[in-house]
Amino acid sequence: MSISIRKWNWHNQFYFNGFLLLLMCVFCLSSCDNREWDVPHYGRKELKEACFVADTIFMDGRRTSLLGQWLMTPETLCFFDECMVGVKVYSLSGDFIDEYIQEGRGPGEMISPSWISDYDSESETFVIQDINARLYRFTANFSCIWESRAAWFLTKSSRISDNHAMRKLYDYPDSEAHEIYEYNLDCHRIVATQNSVIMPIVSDHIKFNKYYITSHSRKYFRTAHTFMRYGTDSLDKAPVLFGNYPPIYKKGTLSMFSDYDFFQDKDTLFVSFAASPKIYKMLLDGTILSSFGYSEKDITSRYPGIRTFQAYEEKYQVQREKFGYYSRLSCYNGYVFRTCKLDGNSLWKLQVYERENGNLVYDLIIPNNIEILGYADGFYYAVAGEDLEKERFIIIRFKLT
Amino acid sequence: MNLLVLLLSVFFSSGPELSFLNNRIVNAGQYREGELIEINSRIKNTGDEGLLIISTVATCNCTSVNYPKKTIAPGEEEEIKIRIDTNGKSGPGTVVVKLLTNTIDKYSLIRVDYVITK
Repeated sequence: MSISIRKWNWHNQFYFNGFLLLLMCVFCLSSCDNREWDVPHYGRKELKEACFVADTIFMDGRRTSLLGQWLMTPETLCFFDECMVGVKVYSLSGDFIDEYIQEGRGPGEMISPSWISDYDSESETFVIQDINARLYRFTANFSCIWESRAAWFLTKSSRISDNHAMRKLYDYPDSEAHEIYEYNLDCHRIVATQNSVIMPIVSDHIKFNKYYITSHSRKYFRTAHTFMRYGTDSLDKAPVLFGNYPPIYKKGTLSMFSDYDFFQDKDTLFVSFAASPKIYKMLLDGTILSSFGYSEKDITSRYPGIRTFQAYEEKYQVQREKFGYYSRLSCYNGYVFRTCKLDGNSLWKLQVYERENGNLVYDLIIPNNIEILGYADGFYYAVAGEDLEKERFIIIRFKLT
Repeated sequence: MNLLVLLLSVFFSSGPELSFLNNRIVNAGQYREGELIEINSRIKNTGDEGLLIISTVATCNCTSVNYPKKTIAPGEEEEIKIRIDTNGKSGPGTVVVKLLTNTIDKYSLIRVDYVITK
């Protein structure tokens, strides 16, 4: 009897020790996982008195779908229609100037331009990517100064290519085929400099790993990369994937708030995630250097988790209306701008930080989410939406005073 | 004199012109998954020559477009019928139908916004 008790105790001790060891391993692994995000946080609140006053500029959108991307050059505002080939160019006062790029396969023509970068003031160019992995670099007056084809494909839908093999690979993914990268549609941002382009991506495709129905989407946030970088002079090489989601995404399953926005400043990238109040500064290999930024008091961040991406599709709209989150991030004239939606209502705020020291200097209520496009002649220009009844774009310009 | 009238008419002719009689951007509202969204868009040839819709392209394979295949005379009204199959869809969505015509602008767009609930 005593022998049997001793045997039982020995087993019990063994299992108990094993359990402790396992707990320690899990703890070590989780802390290692998040250690890279424990970086110095800088910046103070030095709020200045201000109210948001803006001039409204209406731009004729009658011959567009009113769906697309904007680009601001030093003297113009350009609209790239998502549903139609062509760029409509307006003056900063809202007058239509001209239209560029025709549909077709000849010189100066494109089939379905899908991605347009921000205007890079250093190289005074921007990059457009067409389907079939074709890339073009344009000057502000729409002269194409460089054109090439990448050895890999970037997708955002089945419009990836008119190459049958590529379309088949998109519809029936093969985990061994690495030449397809998926653009993160929620992010709406591409940054191009003299020699490189940075794009937001979905590196862990839900079609490959069955996250859509079966798996816990938390796993996605532990493994997925957030950015892809490629050199425009080395398009034959595979792009570099870097960056991850911050710890808040690893604790919860926040697919509804997985979007992020970013801008590049020389060799660093500034990134703001929808669910995180911090703005992270990282190197172009994904190393986190530091962070700054304040949370809005009306954003509780009590996001409910979901298990699958199927649930994400069903609940996305309701949760985005109910909870607050951080949205667009941009930097012009030494200021970092970030828009925030507050909890439970449709109120939006604009946080303005000084880029050099991370101090929050303005915290303004704005009528709706805006996308700041640039700075010219003392004014910041932003897209504030569309007037669908009158078929026109609403652009605002404002000063920080 | 006849030659002068002909020259003047050629010079001042504006060609065919497609105008929408109702809003070109349609908010179709809420639908349950599986329901069919049906939009009828009325158009008019406000130009002075025959209008021809050559082809249509939609941004989603779920969409079928029924459009007049004949030449629409100046001043004549016609209807374009758009049907969107909502099977497998959820949340807010947009379909844009592009009409290729014989007008100077070549293209006209109809946009349909909708929300699909389960």
